[in-house]
Amino acid sequence: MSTALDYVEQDVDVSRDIESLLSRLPSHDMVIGMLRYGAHLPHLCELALPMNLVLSHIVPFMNRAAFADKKIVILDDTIYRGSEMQRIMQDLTDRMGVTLAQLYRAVAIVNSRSKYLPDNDAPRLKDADYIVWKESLASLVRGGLRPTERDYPLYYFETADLSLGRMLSHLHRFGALHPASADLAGKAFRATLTLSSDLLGDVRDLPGLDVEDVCKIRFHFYRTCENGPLRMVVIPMAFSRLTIDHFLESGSGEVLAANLGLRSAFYRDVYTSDSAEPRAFLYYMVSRSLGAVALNSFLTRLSARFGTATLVSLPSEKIDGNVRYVFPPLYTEFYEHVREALPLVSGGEQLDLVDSLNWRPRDGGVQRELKRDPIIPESYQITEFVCAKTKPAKWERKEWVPNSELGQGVAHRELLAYFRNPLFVSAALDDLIDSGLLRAQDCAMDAASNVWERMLFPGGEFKAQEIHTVADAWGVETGVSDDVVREELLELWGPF
Amino acid sequence: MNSGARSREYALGREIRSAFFLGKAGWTAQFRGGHATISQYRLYKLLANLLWDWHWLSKSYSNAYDFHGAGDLVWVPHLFGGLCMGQPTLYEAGAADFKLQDGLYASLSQLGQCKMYSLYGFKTMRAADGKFSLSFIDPGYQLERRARVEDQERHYWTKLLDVYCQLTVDELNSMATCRTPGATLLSVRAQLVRWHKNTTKALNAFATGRAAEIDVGLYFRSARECADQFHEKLRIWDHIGEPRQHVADLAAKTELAGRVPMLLDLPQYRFAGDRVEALRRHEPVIAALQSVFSQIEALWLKKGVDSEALEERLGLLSGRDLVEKRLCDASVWMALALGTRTRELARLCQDLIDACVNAVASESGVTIPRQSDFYNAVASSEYPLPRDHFKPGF
Repeated sequence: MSTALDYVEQDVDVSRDIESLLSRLPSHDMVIGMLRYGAHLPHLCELALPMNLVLSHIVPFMNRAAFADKKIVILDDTIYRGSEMQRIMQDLTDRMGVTLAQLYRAVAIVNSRSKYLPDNDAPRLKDADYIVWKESLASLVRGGLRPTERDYPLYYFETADLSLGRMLSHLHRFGALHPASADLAGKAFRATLTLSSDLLGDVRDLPGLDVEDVCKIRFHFYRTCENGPLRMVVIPMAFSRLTIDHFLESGSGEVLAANLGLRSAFYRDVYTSDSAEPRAFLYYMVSRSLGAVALNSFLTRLSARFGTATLVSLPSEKIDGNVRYVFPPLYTEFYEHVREALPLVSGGEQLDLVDSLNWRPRDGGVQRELKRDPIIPESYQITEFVCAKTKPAKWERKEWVPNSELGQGVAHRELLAYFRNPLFVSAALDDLIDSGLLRAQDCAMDAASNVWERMLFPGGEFKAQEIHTVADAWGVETGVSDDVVREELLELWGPF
Repeated sequence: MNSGARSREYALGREIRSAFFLGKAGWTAQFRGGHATISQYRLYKLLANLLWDWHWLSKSYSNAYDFHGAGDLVWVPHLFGGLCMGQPTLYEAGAADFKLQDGLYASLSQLGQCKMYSLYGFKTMRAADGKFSLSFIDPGYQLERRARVEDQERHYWTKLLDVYCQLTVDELNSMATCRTPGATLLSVRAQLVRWHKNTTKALNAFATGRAAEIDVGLYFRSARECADQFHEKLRIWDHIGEPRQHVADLAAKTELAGRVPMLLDLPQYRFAGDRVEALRRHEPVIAALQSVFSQIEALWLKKGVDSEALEERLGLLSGRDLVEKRLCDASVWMALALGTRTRELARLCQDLIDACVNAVASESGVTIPRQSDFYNAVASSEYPLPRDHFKPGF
């Protein structure tokens, strides 16, 4: 049955625009894929062009030598006003010693009001068309295999013995499972398992680390062909605040390394590496290591339930095709080591473990009563809390513009403390981050960059206006009573 | 179809846009009226008219009126004529008691309970003495700028409001309901669909012995109203020339001169005028059926059957040769009525109504389906306004 929605977007062909962009790139040694959507473009193009891809968040973790004498394409989906592109250009030229001559900025489309232009001849779209294009792209990305946010390591698995339903029934036993996106279209079925951080064991209490009560593991299930094996993209996430000096001085780095089977000096080497931002690099590696600990612990328990089924870890190259990701050597060392050490689930192993562990997150006391609206999803309530701390858009002369001075953002722990409902927060954040209304990034919390945490911010570009409006809406009291609604409905439609 | 159309943020954009359109209309009409409130009926009619021109202006003059759609606002043929309702795409059953009618439509009061609509000006709705009054506030320029509505759209929505705010309620109703043959056909069909539903509900209650358990009085009243409205819509259609001309005269003083009101129909409604006339020929049939049906009500109210009227109506129906004679046999009816054999009488009445409705539908070339099927079709394949021409998105 066609609906009012069916007429839209006839002329928007994001795939064609991406193909046009990528097929016309000049010769290059390296492509920097801008988060969030620029990094996805190579995987959305059917041409499967080979490239060496550096995710933009990894750039500060590299050293100058990685970029020396290289022809570099900076790839993004769009330019709105150019702030992100300018920022990466500045990072590369000021801190990585890259010359302008080495750089080529390529985007698929440009907002018509942007004064900043790329190097390629990208079509310029007015606001409304820009939004439509962007939303189409966002939907394509959400339908893909990889999460929208690309700054977490992805672990790939495959099983020929388990159906999706069977796998979900296993997962259900460990924690709270919810769909990870409101979008039902797409190749992959996405679900998130929200768990108590008890899963991390002793690592949770390491000095210098303040680990939150909740962690999560996200799963994207898909099959490469009908009746083919079930594949999973697994993204483990643990939330923590890191105090770098204390972490290193207390030996916590060695303990964490030992837990994962890494060299004892691994984290110290990260900190003393010649990367442009060693502190940011250290927080990144520590926080993603906690995710790896969680995944390790989880898989160990999961295997006890599998019976004769087999779960095999896949190398990322098998999934990435012609796209070769470039990471700093220390990251590669971490990833490969963790991946190879993951407890593979194979038939017949019956581990002597208590499988009655239930890692459902504990509620944080009496849950805050959630506001209700008939139409706006409950999850959007978080926007009110976030925007109370940081105004996403500001009025400039005659229009709203994204607020570039967003301040510190909101920590995950603040949301947990406010709502006291970890499952609600987990599901809502999945939804809001996926839809672009919120974004997350690792941030230094103090001037000395000694304390780091992952923070949430309102979305940028036109999302800034939208989240501002949604947040304002939650604060509004409506003045139509249920009695009036009942009376009007009776008048209009009779008894039903 | 591009899956982006169904994404959450797309739906959110439409929601914000719809809230703007509704709030702007409510505030403008209230302000122009010089009162602190506006009647619910007036706003329904006003928006219904705006929608019609919005769709057709952009279809017919795409260079001049390069619009996106009307968000979640849709034109609906209703018991009370053409109305504007909401078809919220962001709806996720967030509130347990928020039900879309026929799974499709939200009323103004329901939209008024939604925060986005409140943000854009919809403040209160009150009921007093059977009348509903709404109160809006001006959302303000800054908020309007966040509404995903382009400048030129804001401009023309306001221009349309300028024209239609000057109409009387009756004129608004006429234009919202019967401005074109297509609109008239749907409006008239809606009455028959609803009338058939209400008669069926009431008769089923009697036939199954459940009349004491439900409020059958409501179905009797609703059916009576539907029958009255069926005749009323045909009267409006007969005199549509005057309100059309008034709108044209008002628009002549604006940049919409010569274009508003838009009086076009989609190609699928090119025979709508003929079908309306075909239904008109069966107007006496519907009146007769309603009269027969009301005898059941009289029995239920213990007022006794009006034998003479019953016989006359049955005779009329019999004379039409639409249905089997046995269904119109007055002696059978009298026997059942006098013997207060209500169940059997209800079944006979149901058979008569069903047979007549089918015959009318067949002869007129229209369908008179179940209410939910009717509105599902109206919301999709039978929607009378063009939608495939709008700029993508929203």
